[in-house]
Amino acid sequence: MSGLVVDASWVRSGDFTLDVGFAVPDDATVAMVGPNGAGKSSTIRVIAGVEPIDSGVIKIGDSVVDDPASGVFVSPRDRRIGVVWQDAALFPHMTALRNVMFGVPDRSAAEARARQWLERMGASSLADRRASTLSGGETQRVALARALASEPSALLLDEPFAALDASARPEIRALLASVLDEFDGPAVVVTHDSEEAILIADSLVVMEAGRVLQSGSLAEVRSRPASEYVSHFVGVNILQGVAESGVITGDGWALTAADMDTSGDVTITIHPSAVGLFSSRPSGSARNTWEARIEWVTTTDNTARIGLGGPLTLVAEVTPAGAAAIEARPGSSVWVAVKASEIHATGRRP
Amino acid sequence: MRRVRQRPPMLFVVLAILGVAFVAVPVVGLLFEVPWGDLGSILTSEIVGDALRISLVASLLATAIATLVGVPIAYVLARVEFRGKALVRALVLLPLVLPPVVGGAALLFSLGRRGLVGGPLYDATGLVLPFSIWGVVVAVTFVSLPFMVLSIEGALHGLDRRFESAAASLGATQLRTFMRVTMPMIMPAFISGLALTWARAFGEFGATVAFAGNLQGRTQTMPLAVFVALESDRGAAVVMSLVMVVVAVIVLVALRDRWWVRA
Amino acid sequence: MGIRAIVVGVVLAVAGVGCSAPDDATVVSVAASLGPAFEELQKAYERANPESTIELNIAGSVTLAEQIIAGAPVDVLALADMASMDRALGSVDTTGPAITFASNSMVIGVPRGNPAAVTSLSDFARSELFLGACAIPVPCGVYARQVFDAAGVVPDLDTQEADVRALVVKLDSGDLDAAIVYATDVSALSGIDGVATGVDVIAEYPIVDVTGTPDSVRFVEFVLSAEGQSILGDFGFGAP
Repeated sequence: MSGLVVDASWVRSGDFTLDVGFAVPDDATVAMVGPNGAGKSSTIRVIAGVEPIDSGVIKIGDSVVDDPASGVFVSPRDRRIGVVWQDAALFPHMTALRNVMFGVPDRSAAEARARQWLERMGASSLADRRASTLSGGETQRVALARALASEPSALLLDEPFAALDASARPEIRALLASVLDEFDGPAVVVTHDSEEAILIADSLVVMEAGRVLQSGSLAEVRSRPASEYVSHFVGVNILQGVAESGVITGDGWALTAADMDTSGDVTITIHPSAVGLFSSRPSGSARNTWEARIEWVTTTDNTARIGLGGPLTLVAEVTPAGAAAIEARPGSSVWVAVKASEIHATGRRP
Repeated sequence: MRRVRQRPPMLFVVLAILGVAFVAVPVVGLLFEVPWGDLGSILTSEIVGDALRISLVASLLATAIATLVGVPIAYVLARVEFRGKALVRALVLLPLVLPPVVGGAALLFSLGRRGLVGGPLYDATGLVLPFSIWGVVVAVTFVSLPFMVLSIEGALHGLDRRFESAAASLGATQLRTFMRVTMPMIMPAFISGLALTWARAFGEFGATVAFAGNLQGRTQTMPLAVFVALESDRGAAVVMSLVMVVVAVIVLVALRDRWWVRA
Repeated sequence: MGIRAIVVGVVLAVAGVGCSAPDDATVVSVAASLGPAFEELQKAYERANPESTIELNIAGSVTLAEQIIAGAPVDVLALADMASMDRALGSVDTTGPAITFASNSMVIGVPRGNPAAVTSLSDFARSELFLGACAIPVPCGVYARQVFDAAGVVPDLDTQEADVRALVVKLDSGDLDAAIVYATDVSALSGIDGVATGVDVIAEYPIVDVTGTPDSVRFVEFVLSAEGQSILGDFGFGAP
């Protein structure tokens, strides 16, 4: 039970060399994040075995699947890795059912197994639809079913939310969270979206220019962000509360969220750029508006990050010009507004 | 739903009309030459029947063989990296630029009764390719094979490799991946490859006459019969040309309606 | 027919643009089997008449007859058979009559060394041999038919080629055991041997002066002269 171990380097194209090392224990989910071109998808490809590495080792469970030094290379078909590719890569000429059946190891039971997986992904009604006719959310459900039906010992998901429209995101995110919760092997999720990474993953691997810039639990990364990208990425506000008919109540605060259909314990995320700051009480809706004290201000070339004091501790991100307009400095007070639609809530994992 | 007809550039319309006319005028000219009164007797003559049968058998067999070997060639060219690949591709496509008569002569010197490969083959089995329907099949396959290779290889290059990666990581063998995923996804290109290959084989003249010879009922295809008749019986030549035009149009239109438009 | 006239006109116009012959060149249309001999004749004639230019248009006799009927500008026409010449003369006015200027005979062509030991025309009835002749419409096919008829042989042919060159190639490659070809085809260059047919079928080559220009008159005279006949003899042609 040693999960997934990647300690490898390889040349992707031209002379761009990737040198990547990280480990994912069984039952754990790592979110691989980083800017475009950092080598995230390329890493997924070498783990899946679509491309070989030049040196180092990749291990899944107890078996070495790629080790150039000893001449070991296990082909993709024998790695037993379930992959949800970017844009899903469902076979467009097949029905959803046929797509899922394709990977079931036991051919005689393929249809029954495939139907079970479609049902667990809430996609039974899609069975006879051609894959090319599915919407983004439907495609992801079928792609998840297909990956899981192949009985993988590890899961790789390359930007599973990228092709989704905003309305499909919450339900697919919840589905994925429960799938990953049940899955007992290692899982890697590539994402651009900090909220998703934080809600789904146990730890982060931050990639930059072909290397792992930083890795660790969310708290570790947040306490010492290694770059502005990382600090921006993990700067998301995360709050715990209890939801009741659209209102989330925490310790000394209450926020109204739009389109809330969960109740009970929830985790909510608010992106710092969604926190509006004003020098006087904003007009319009009085919901989610309050006066707070500025605890700290850090300014870079492009952004100013402003720490707001409790009872609701939040980080806001504005332009330097915006910070100047409200005369932001530690100790001064400011009016805060958060739109209900910018508050994302997910049922908390038990 | 309201449809707004798109207006193409006038220059394109003019050039396109000129281009279509360039092809249409000779066909119309052919129609003017048809001896309609003798049509029935020429169509039912033994020469036309024999030639049409041989042409259809040889061109269909050639298409089947071109599929059997051309698809694997295209696969290797598109998916496998090896030294000298450019040379292999040039070699396979050579029949496109080689004058067919030269190709036929080259076949004669290699696969003929005393040829490099044909000699030992004859000594061992007594099989003689020239002057037989098999010689016709070999000749028309030689010139039509590149069309299949080009069609399939182009489509394979255009296909997103992730689908094959996906199939592999789902545990499929390379052969299963090709048959179940790759081939269905490039079906339109395969169908047009079939059409091009068959059309080239059906109309082949030079390599056939140079390699297989010309004997009615054995090796005389439609183009050969037309060529001989041009020197003796122009009416028969025109009628046989008309038969070729009609057969080709039927096949190409049928394929187009079923596949090309949908693609 | 209108369309046909237009098509022919366009083809001739394009052909005229394509070959930029000097206006005063004398165009000689010559049958394919005569080609090599006429290239020698052209050189010798132009050496003797430096001010004259001869332009050779080499193709099959049937094609050349078609061309001239369609209106191609030709000064002198030299063909491999009388039938094609008669067709040409039937629709074109010429200044002179057709004159036979050379002859050829038919032989049994065999691969070098005669591996199938073909000795006479009667071998053409042996079904185990690979045997060929020209197709009937082309002159060498007509002569071959006359040869078989004269010998009373019903040949078991494996191929009837569209021109005699195709027969020579297949004899050279060893794919044909024997074929009826012209005596002029049997030479050191062609790589085939000849066996006498034993029957007397003579191919006669007619020439006609179409336009009667001073140069065309002089060229026809040159072909018929002792020097011209000697050059034709070098290529295996017999006297008329």
